[in-house]
Amino acid sequence: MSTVVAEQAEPADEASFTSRNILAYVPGVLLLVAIGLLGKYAQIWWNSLAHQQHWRVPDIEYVLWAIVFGLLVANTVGLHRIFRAGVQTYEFWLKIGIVALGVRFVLGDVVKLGGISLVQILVDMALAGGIILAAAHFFGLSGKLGSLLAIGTSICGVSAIVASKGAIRARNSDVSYAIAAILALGAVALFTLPVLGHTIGLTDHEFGLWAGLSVDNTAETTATGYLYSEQAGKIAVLVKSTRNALIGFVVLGFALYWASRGEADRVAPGLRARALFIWDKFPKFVLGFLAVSAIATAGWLSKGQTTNVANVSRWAFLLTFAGVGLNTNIRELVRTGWRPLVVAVIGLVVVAAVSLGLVLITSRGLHWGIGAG
Amino acid sequence: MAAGDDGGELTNGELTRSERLGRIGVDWWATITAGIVVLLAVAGLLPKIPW
Repeated sequence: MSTVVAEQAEPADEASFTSRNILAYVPGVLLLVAIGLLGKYAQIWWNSLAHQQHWRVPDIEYVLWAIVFGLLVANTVGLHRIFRAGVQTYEFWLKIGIVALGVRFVLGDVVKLGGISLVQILVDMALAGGIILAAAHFFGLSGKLGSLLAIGTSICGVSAIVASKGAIRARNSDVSYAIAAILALGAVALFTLPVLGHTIGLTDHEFGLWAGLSVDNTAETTATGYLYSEQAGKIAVLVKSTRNALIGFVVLGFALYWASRGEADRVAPGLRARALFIWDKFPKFVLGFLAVSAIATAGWLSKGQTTNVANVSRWAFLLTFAGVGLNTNIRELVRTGWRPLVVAVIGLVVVAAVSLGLVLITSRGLHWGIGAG
Repeated sequence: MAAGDDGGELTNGELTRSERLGRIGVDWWATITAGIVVLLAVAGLLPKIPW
């Protein structure tokens, strides 16, 4: 998420690093650490207080505390520009966390769960993408804004929208609208899905699959999963990474469609050119995740060192959760306008409903599934 | 044309070290950083990381 939606009119692929001066990142990163630690200790203090006072209250996870503290700072006193460069590195920490999380997965389970979720993702994409495009048409949005919302909602959030921008020659205003709508929905999903999951009685595995399939932006997917439980968080990250790996194929599909209508640059013909296009959009940290999983599977790490690497992942995610809160500007999201938001809400509801159905059918009906270590 | 690390001018085909580093994406930086952590762990050099 970005603090100012207007600044998202020209989103860069590498928005995490906005300055070449390494010192520019220090204040913001320190703020991420401070908010993250505050969230971590708030959970401990809250539980201790509830225990001492004999209160019967739910255990509020550090994930929620960190996000709420970040939200409070960003939407009350605001984020001084000295912190911006460092705070925007939260996606860098997210990716470090995902790569290090590979240590908690056996490679065979990654392949199996990746395969299962791939089937679910493809069904989800076809159904949800079609409905979102129809809704966008019904509400009179431009074809390209509809495409961006379909890409962002059914596939993989802001990264996919940014990756599509050049390929389908979308207008900056459409890109800003689509990103703001996706981010608003990420915030909604973050607070509603865990409650719904508990109400429905989903297992950690089922909820992780559901969050990974239906929450659009990777940082929010991770936070939503970890809000439910650590096990759910790990599954959500794996499923979302599988979704992310499909960015190139989806963007290529939309690029070919708009090029065939003469409204985007032609994609170079030939298999090699298209393979290069897909590789260019491919999220490379997924390879890191697989490599670390392979190292863990090969037994090159002792139990203690595995725990250490897993803890690096936890710390990196803690900074990410603080960054999610600090980068959410509620006033900017409200200003987005209602029509793209309505289409995106339809998208979220459709994707959430379809993916919940798929999760329940595959896990309870077909008994597909594995666990994470 | 760009100034090289040694202050001299470079031809169009050459990039300064900082420009080369700048062309490495966040995905790769995150993978490299986490990769170093994991390699330290494999070598038994990663200190105890508490949570």
